Amino acid sequence: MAGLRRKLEFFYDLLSPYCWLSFEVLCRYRNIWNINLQLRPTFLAGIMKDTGMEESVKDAGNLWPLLVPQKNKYLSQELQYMAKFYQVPLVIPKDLRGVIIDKGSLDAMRFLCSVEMENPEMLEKVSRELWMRIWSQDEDITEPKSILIAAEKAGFSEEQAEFLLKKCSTEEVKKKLRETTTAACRHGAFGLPTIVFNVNKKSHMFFGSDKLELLAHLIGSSDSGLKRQASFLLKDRSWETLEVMWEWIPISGNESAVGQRDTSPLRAKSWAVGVEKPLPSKAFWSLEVPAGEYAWRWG
Amino acid sequence: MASLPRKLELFYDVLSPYSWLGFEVLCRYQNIWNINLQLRPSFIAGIMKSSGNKPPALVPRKGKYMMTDLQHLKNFYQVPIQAPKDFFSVILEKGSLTAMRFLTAVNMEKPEMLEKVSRELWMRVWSRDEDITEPQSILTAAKKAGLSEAEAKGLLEKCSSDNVKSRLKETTDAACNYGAFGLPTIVVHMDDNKSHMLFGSDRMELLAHLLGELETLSFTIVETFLTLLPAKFITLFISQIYAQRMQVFLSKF
Repeated sequence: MAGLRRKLEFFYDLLSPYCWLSFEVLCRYRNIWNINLQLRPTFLAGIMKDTGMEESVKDAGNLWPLLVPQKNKYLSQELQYMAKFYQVPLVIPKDLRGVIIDKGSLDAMRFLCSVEMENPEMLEKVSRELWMRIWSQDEDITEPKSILIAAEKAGFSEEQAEFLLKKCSTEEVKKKLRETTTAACRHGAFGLPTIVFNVNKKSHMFFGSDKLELLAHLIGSSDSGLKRQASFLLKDRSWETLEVMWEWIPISGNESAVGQRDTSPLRAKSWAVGVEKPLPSKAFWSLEVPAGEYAWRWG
Repeated sequence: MASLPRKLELFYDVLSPYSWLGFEVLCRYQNIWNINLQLRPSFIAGIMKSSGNKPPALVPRKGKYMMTDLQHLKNFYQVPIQAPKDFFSVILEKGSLTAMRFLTAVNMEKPEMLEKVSRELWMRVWSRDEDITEPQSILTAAKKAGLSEAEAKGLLEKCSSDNVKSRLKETTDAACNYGAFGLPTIVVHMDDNKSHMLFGSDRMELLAHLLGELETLSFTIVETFLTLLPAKFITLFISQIYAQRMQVFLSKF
């Protein structure tokens, strides 16, 4: 079954809020879309430098979005909408410029690389904890202590976390981060998040968290069993539960394709957005993502 | 009872392919969503200058990405978008000043034709790789949109008047005042006098969500047919019955 999954590489950096948004959506949909999600911690500053975007206003190239005042203003405002839309508890840190440009994320990304090498199954949880620190609780992620707290919250024991932290300064981990960054650049990345989706021996690169519907369309259209997966029906719920509902129509007679999917059992329910009532006539399935898997911890 | 249509301003320039995508989506939904769509032809070079931003294509990798992105979006939005062969010459050297002034003149004299003429100009530059800077090109597009030869020539002459020039500048400045740093820029005015500015054609889902119209948003023909038509009829039907009953009820007093 695993062999049938399409590979989707997700290059990300903790500094980018849009990375968090697309990370959450991809984690929610990884089983539904039958993809093999590969999280690849990358170094955003490295990509910017490689693209020639590191320099200041004088450069003929492009600028960090933060350096264009109107973009900066727009970003802070838009992120609030996105947080609500994707139901991710995103809060903009007070000193945005300080956090992103001055402090950076090198140590944290190296830590994630060592997690990727030693305990890849923990990578998702640790990334999320670090994001919660910087992009929800406005806390530091550059000090060793900060990283250890996040790792322990994710489920590592104190010894394990310290071992991984020590590994960060080895040449092996530094090289791994450099390799991942180079790989992203080779795919044509000029920023993060960058999603590389391989299907039918072709690879497609998408930049940004606003291509998810397009990605869903591509995934849906390349999957012989499903007609389309273009609607994101998000329930307007409070922060306590994050149930993301979506629907698709299986082509009749293609049950075998559906049967090949490696997902939790489908519950044939029809839901309307926000209302627990069956919709008329249209025959469709809906898959409910269990609330327990995505319960948030606050504070 | 339905609320009044919300005013939705779309600032766009025919030079911007993403403006075309946003334009098409909004034109499709202007009768389905409870909005009052106002097309506002602006000048992208002016916005770039005023905000200190630069066209993304100047970063080579971004330019390359844009080409593949547009291929995907063409299929997704079902808009026949095709990049011109000499991309940099079209965008950076030739520009769109005359074309946008023409659209401004159309907006002032014959606003009901603005949608068609804009679309024809986009079809020229972003579908058939044809020129939009020569007077003859603009006249051809205008006639294809349905304007008569005399009307088109009259509007073209008006382009060089101070009226039209200052109107284009005002629209561009208005976009900048809303915080624009590029196009397309959408400004939606909600019921409580709050307004939201969104940049880019990839904010349609978010826009639908803000308008409370997320259920009706769909990008495939089959879906549209199955969900929107029944929904529209049901809403009309119910609101008519409700209105009739209210009338009967109120007439008793």
